[in-house]
Amino acid sequence: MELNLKLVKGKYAFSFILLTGILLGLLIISLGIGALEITPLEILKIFANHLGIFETPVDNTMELVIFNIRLPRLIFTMLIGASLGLSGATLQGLFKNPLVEPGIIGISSGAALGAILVIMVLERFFPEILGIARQWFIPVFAFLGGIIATIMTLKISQFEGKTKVTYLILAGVAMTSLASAIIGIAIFYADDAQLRTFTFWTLGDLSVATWDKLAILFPITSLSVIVLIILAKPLNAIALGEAEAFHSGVAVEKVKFVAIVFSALAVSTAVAFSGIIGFVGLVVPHIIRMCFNADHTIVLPASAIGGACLLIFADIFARTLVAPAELPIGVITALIGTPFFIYLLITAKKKRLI
Amino acid sequence: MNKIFILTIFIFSCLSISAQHRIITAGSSSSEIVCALGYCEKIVATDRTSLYPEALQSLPSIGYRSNISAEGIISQNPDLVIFEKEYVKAEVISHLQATGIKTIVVTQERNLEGIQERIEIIASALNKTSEGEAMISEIKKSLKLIQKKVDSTPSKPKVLCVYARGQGNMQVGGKNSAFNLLDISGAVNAVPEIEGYKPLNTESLIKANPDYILFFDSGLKSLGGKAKVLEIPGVMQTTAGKKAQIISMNGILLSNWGPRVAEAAKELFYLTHPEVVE
Repeated sequence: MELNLKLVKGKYAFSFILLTGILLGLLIISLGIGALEITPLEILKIFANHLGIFETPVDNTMELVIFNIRLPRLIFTMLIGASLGLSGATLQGLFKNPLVEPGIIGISSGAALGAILVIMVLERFFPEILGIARQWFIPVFAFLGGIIATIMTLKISQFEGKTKVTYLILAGVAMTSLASAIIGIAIFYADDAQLRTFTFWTLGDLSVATWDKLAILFPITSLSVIVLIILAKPLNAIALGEAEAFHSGVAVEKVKFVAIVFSALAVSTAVAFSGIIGFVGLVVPHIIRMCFNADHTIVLPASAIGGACLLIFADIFARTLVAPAELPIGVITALIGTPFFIYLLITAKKKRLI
Repeated sequence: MNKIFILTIFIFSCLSISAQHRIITAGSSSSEIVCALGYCEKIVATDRTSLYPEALQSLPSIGYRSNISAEGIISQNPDLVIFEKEYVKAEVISHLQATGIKTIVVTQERNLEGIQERIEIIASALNKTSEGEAMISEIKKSLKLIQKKVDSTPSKPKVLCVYARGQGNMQVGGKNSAFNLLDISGAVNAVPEIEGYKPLNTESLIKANPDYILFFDSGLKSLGGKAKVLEIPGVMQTTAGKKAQIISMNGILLSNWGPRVAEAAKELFYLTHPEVVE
């Protein structure tokens, strides 16, 4: 029996190494591909030069493209992909519902609403506050919007001190509709330039990555990722049944609360910096569960890595398909994600996995 | 000594000419100004709105507004990039400036001060200051002639401006829309209370009772032509509908406030004042 378990663990360890290998491969490929042609040798030279391994003349423009445009964008994409994949996996596990996605419980649209309120209200009535602070105002308010929408969803869905899943999803649907309605009013009053900023929010955009933004994104995302992965074991216990989990000493309500708040933190930070990017949070955990099993100690970290992989993969297409222009990232994730998801649904149905 | 001096000047002037031989523009008004200053062949890539002169349409497209990326621009190896304000993201401009590519940002204002500023800045970036001044005075001269016609024509028809992209997607343009040209063409906007754009509403259409309904050529085509416009509910209850005064102009010419602004104003004046003989 014990031997058997070790064998199983060994198989997962191999898959983990494989997944990490895919991520590393994608990182290297993505760094080498872009509108500007830079050979792998040139990239090696640029890095060697930068790290002071050996001095060699490199093209100044290429160096700037690598260090100021591609590298920050790559890390940005990886962090956002990981946030979306991990939050999706956490929420699906927590609510034992394969349809739950960060968008469903109101996080994404709350964050988008926060951003749009800045564009519409602050810009119209307090234009003097903005100026340089503008690029920081939008992410901060998006984050506030996401957190507020999530807390309201949670409050509405609490019944006799407990969070019921059905109520939670219905409350999420209600919050999303409310946010959409307010966004609709905002669009009606928007002038041309503001409207275009709005489309940027709803389709997602990774080209806005800079080192300054990473300085904020990195610590928040790392914190959320660590907290959520620590929650894997209590989530496993909850998956077996809340009453059983409670009796085996898991603080069920506390775990739920922490899981939701940190998922909200990760997702609204992602939305704040890159707009709403759909499908990653829904598709990635499904793929991971079908490849591995439903054990959260595996699904959660694997979804983080998988989310990063999917988003980096999608971004390669977004950056190169219509070069020198760019496609919105949300369009690509849906184009790649949907057919794969349908394929998985059909095979899962045949195998009676769902 | 003198020869060396002349030689130095010669080398420097060669350098300054060859230093600006790959231009990228974003914004159709700026593209037209660069072309009008004689640098059309130097444009190596442009944005999706720059459709005139037609040669620009065959160039690589850097995209449209928020999907314009810094690396895409850099990959075309430009040495001068001209943006209209708020047309691209702030990150794109800062990335370009970091690479040392000369990047200038001109105003996007669609009015006379705006076009004057655009021409001045672009002309000075191209070392064509005097040509720029000549262009501005030429425009002013032509606009004065139109102003004279406007002043001597008593009628100030009400024009409803519609931005259409097919049935069910019609926006009315009010103040500060793509239809500002009305202000200098002897006509008035039928819905001055609207700021920017609002969806077309049948009752407001009847209430505004325009004398003319103005479209972009492409917008009128997307609706299926004049006859189809007359079938839009409410149109037949307006003066424009009863007299079948449905007019259209090339969208770029009408809206971009470029070097052809006087030509555009003249066309719009005659479209809305058929009683005046040229």
